[in-house]
Amino acid sequence: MKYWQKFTQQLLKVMHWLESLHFYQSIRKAFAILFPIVLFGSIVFAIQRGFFSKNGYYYQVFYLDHVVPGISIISYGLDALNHLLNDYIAVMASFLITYYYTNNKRNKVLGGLTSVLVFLALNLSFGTGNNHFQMNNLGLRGLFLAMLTSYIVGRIFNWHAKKRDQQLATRSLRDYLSIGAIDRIWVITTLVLLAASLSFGLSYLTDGGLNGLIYSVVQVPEKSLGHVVEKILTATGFNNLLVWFGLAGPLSIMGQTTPEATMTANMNAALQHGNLKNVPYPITVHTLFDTFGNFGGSGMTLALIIAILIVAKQANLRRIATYSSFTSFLNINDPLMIGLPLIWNPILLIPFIITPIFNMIVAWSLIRLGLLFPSVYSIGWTTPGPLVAFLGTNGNWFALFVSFICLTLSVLIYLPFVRLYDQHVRLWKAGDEVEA
Amino acid sequence: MKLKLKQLKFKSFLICLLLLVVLVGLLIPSRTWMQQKVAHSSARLNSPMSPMILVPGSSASKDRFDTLVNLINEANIDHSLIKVTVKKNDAITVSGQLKPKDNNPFIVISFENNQDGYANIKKQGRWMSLAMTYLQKRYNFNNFRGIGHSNGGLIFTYYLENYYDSDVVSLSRLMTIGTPYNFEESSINNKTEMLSDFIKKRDKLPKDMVLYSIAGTENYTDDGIVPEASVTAGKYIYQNRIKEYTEITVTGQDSAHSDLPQNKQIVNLITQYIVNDPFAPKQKTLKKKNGNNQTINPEEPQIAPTE
Repeated sequence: MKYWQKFTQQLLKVMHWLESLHFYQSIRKAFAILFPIVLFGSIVFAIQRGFFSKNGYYYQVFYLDHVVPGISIISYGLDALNHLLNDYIAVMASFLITYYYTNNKRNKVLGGLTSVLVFLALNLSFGTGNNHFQMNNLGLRGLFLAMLTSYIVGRIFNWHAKKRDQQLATRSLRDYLSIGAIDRIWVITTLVLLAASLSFGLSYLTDGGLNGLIYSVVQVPEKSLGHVVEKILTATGFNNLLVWFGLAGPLSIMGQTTPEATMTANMNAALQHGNLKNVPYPITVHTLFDTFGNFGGSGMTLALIIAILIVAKQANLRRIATYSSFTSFLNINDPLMIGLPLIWNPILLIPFIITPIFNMIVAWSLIRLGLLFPSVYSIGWTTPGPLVAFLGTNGNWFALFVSFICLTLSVLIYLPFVRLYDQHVRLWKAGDEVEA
Repeated sequence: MKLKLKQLKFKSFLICLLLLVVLVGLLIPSRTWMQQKVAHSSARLNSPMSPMILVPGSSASKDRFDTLVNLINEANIDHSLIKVTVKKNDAITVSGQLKPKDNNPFIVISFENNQDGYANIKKQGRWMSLAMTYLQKRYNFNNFRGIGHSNGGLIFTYYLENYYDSDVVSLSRLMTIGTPYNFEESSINNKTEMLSDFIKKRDKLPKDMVLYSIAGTENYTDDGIVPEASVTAGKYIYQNRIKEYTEITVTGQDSAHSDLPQNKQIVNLITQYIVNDPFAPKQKTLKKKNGNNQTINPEEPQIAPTE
């Protein structure tokens, strides 16, 4: 217990230090503004995927193509709305973060705009093609790069402003404004040209810009994961770490229930024999991660919401959790990532990484012991997390039981960390120092 | 503060309860749906049915292939003959019976509108997809073989490029007989609109398919109606796109366009490549035991046992 006390005190200290950083505060403010947009966008995305796509869970189970007239038209509309709301989040983030990070009032808007230009410059799409930008990287996937860009642009603006402010302190207001703006043009042009050249140089190495370079480094081909459980667990931990940083992890990119070769082999074997006793690949990314490690989105965020609703005393936390509960039920956790926030939150990082791994170990041991059947049948998009195992085994009640056990265990793991974060929020709002 | 917290906690309890209720409520419908899906997929995957789908050409009726089927059945086992007709209003009528334990019936798909011309081919391709959906529901097969005579081959091509879904059913072998891929043009330099469209959409053709394209010739250029150059134009569509593309030219008796389905050589080719499976693994050699309890392989030269 004493070790736990020491550990939590250390965590609180780290969190407190992080919150006192000017840059971190800018990120928080930016996220707070983005939250309603992300929430709305995620709801649209979730509904479109689950209710209006041919592969959607609710579409399939309730035969919505027979029930809803003109469903394909609605689907097109929702898809357009989805792209509108979700595809530019990182661009907006880069503006907002720099806006709050730049010190001088006069610099704020200009700094934000420069950050947008630099961020877009880093995502230019060279060569033939319809798009000028790498459209995939302008949404939440590009959040980390946006934060990095904001930091660099913000710092340069602050440094430059300090220099010029000293020189121009004596001039009149009108002069200062006009001279100041022209000054900034040099900074802006230099930054943008540098970013564009970097992007151009990178286009020879990789297709996806700077983001693409990062992804090609962390990309893990699914085949190499195969059925080795240690590799799968490590990949999950690594994936969640990247998601916590604001990047999309390797599993999130490759996932989305597209049938892999092992899954097709499993499904065919099960169909031929009429039972699940001897499928060729009982341990795969799909049977462990998709089935037991992804309730509510990466990091078992469904358990996080439940934990918050149980123990949190801070009204804001409860509010965010309530608003995000619908999308989490459809396995999308973006509102939570931006709202709490989960991104760059050291206290919640630990359960975020541990809970899926823990659940996957439980599932792996049960499958290895032959007590639990692996999930082989393909399920629709946005199937509720706890039901994936149940449906993937064609209605096996024990699998459902294991899912609920996993959910309960995840909630239990999240509880102390949620309590800690709740405590931190209370202390921070009250302006108290953490006791040494 | 405490009252507000109590209110919040009650609200959250309600939300958790709601989520739980919805989750439980989803259990039964999704379980039913999944079990239905699995049973259906299982039936399809394990189905031994593999019919041969025949499509006649323009102005030909559903009885076009009767002689052909009779010839094949005489030499082979008796295959059922089922005839499906698609009316102009999309209605489907069926005649003929599936004999018990017959896994390889002949199924003729014909159309009330069997006129010539690209516009009609497009309609007939769509009607063919309706007939295929009906047949899959009724007979639950996961693979089939095809024979198209004259325009029938064009209808098959249009169907493959616009309606065929390899996730649902797979076409293993197709034979087109006297099919005018370039209609009545005898020069490949004059591509008809249909041929250009077929070539444009060649990416949609299934990569694992095998095609035999048979041209009949009465003289050096055509079979009385279809120029040989028009039949061989099929290579621009299929060659290097599907697994195997084979062209065969048949001459001699019965090589006029309408006689092709009864042509003895073609009947042999159909029997060899479509009815029988040319890719089946070699028959296991039979072992006979002679009086001395020695197993002798009849394929090998017999060595007289020395006593």
